[in-house]
Amino acid sequence: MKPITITKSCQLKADVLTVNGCEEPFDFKELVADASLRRRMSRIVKMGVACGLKCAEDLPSDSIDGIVTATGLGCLGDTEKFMESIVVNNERLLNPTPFIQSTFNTIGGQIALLRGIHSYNVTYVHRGLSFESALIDAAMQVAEGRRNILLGAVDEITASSADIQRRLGMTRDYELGEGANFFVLNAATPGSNQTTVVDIDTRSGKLTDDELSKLIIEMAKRNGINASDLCVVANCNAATTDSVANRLSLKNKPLPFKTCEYHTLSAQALDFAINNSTANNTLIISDYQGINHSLILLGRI
Amino acid sequence: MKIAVTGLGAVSGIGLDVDENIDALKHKRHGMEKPHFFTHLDVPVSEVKVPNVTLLEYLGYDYNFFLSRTALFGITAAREALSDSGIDVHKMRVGLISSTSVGGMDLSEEFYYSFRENHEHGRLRWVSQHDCGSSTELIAKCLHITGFRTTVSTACSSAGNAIMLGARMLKNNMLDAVIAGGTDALCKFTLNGFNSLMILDKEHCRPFDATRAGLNLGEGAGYIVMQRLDDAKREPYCLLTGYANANDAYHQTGCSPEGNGAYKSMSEAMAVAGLQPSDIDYINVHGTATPNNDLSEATAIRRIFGDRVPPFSSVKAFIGHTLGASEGIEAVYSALSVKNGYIYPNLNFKLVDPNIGLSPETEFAEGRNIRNVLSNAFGFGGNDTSLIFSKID
Repeated sequence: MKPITITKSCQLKADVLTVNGCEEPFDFKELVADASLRRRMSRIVKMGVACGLKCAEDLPSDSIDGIVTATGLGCLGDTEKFMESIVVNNERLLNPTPFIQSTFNTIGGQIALLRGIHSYNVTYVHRGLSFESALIDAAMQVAEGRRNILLGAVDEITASSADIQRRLGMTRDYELGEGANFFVLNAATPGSNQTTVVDIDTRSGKLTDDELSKLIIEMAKRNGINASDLCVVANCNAATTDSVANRLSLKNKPLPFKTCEYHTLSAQALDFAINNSTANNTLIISDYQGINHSLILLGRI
Repeated sequence: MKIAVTGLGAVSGIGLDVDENIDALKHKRHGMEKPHFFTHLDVPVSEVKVPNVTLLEYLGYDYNFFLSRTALFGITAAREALSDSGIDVHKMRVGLISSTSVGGMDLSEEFYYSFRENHEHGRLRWVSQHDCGSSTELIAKCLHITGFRTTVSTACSSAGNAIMLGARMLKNNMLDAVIAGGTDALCKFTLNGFNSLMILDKEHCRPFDATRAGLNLGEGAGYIVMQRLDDAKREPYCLLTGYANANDAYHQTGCSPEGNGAYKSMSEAMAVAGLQPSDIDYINVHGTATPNNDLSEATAIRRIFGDRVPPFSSVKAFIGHTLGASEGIEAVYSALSVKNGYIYPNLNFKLVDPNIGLSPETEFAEGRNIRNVLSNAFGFGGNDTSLIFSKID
C-alpha cells in the first residue's frame, strides 16, 4: 500500500501563523485581494481561509483533488448574528450575508472559490470527532488514488458559546480553545522529516483507561509495532496519560499537549506531533469531554 | 466490489414512512401548506404533518423524551431503514453517517429568546442539542449503534455526501453495513435565511417551468442501508454504482451559467459506475425551482446528454427542498425507481422555458425498465453531488 504522507502543516492561532512548525508572517490582504469580500468575512472564515490558502499556496489548483474540512460548531458568530437580526428586525429585510456564512461548509467552499478548485469538497461536523472524520476521509481519498488533499479544521470562541459551554459545565477542566489547522496529504514517498498517517480509530461514549489501553495494543499489533515503543502525544488529561503509560510500559515519556479544549483540538495535536515528535511511531491520544476518543497513529522513517 | 441498497426509510411532508411517501407521489398529493409555527413569512412549506409528541408515540417512546425535531425525524427514518434491511447491529460493524444543515436549531431558537436578554438565562436542555453531531448521536443511541458514526454538513448536498462516504467505507472494508442519509427540521432560521436570499416562491414552486420563481422549503429525513452485495442477506433494492462530489467554484450561493460543478459531478459519477450517458434511463434532478438552479442544471444535463436527455423530474413540488435531508429522501425514491420502474411526476410544470427547452415527466409511471437512475443534489458553497442507482444484473 502507498503511504499517506503529510507534506505540509499550517496552524493559525491567536493571529500567529506557523508553517511546518515555524512562525511565518502573512498579510491577509495579499491572500484575499478583494476588499469587499474581506469585509464580509467573519472572524472564523478569515481564520480558516487564511490558514487553508497558506497551506495550499505551493500547489497548483488543478493538483488539489480534494478539500476536506472539519468544525465542531461551525461559524457561530454568523449564526448568532443572523438569529439576532431575525429577532430585532422581526423577520423583515434581513441581510443574507451572515446566513450564507453560517453554513458549515463555508470555509471549504471559499477556499475552492478563491483558488478555482473544482474537486471533492466535504465538511464534517461530529463533535469531538469532526477532525478525525475528515482525516479518515482524506486518508481514504489518498489511498483511492487521488493526489493532494487539503485537510483542515477550524473552530472559534464567541462570547455566547463561551457562556453556554461554561453553564453546561464543559469548561470545568480546561479553558476553551480555538484555532485553524490545515494539512496537505498525498501519496508522496515520505522524506526523513515527514510524517505518514498509519491508522485511525474513533470511539464515542465512556471509555475506561483499561479499554483505551486495549484499543492501543490492538492498533499497535495490527500495524506490527510494539505498543511500548510508541511515543504518545497526550491530547487527554494527565491521569489518563499516566495510567496508559503504565499499562503499556511506555519506554518514552509521553509528550503532554492538552492545555485547552475544543471540538477540533486534535488537529492542533496533529500539528504538534508532526513538528515535535521524532519517534518512528507517534500515537496521538485524544479525549473530548470524556465522550469522544480517538487514536491517530503516525509513522516516520 | 458492488454496493447493495438493502434498506430504505423516509419521513417527509407527504408521509411518515416509505409507503406513505410513494402513495402520495403516485396520487400527486403534495405537502405544501402555510407554516404552522410562528412566523411573519407568508410562504408555503412542506412540513411533516404531525407534532413531536405524535411522532414519539408512533415510535413508542415516552413523550418526555426530549428531542430536537431534527433528531426525531432522523430516528424515525433511520429506524425504518434499519428494520427494513433486517440487519442485526450486534452481529457486524454497522456505521451511521448522517447529515444535517441546522441540527437542533429548532430548540436553539427557543433558547435564544431568553439567552439574548441575559446570558445566564435560557434552559440549557434547549441548547444542548444545537450541534449537528447531537442528532447523529441520538439516532445511534436509539438504534443501538455502537460503532463508527459521523455527521456531514455541506448544505443541500449533505445527504448525498453522507451516502458517498458510506459506500467508500464499505469498499475500503472499514464497515460491513452503513445507514446513510440525512435529516433536517424546518425552523425560523432557515426559513428567514432563504427568504433573505430572495429565492423563496410565495406560491407553490414550479420546477423547470418557464414561470418558476423560487423554491419552497420542506423538512424530513431519509436514509438508505448499504452493504457489500456479497454480504446482503435479503434481496437488495438496487446497487449504488456511481457517486461523485465536485465544486462549482463560481459563487457562494449561486450556480455557474455553464453548470460546471453539476457537469463534473454527473460525469464523474458515471465514470465511477462505468456508464455512458445512453445507460441512464431516468434523472432525479435537484430541480429546486429557482430560476438559477434549474437553468444551470439543465445546461449541465444538455452538455452531457446532448439531444438525448433521458426522462427526468423534480420531486421538490411535493416535499419541498429538505436541505440536509434532501438527497436522503430522494435516494430512497431513486432506489425504488430502479426496483419498481417508477417515474415520479414533476408537479406544476406547464410551460417550457425557452432557455432550457426541456420538459420533465409530469405523470407517475411504474413498471418501466429503468437500468440506472442519476440523482443530483447541489448546495451552497458550490457543492455538487451526483449518485447513480442501478439494477442488479
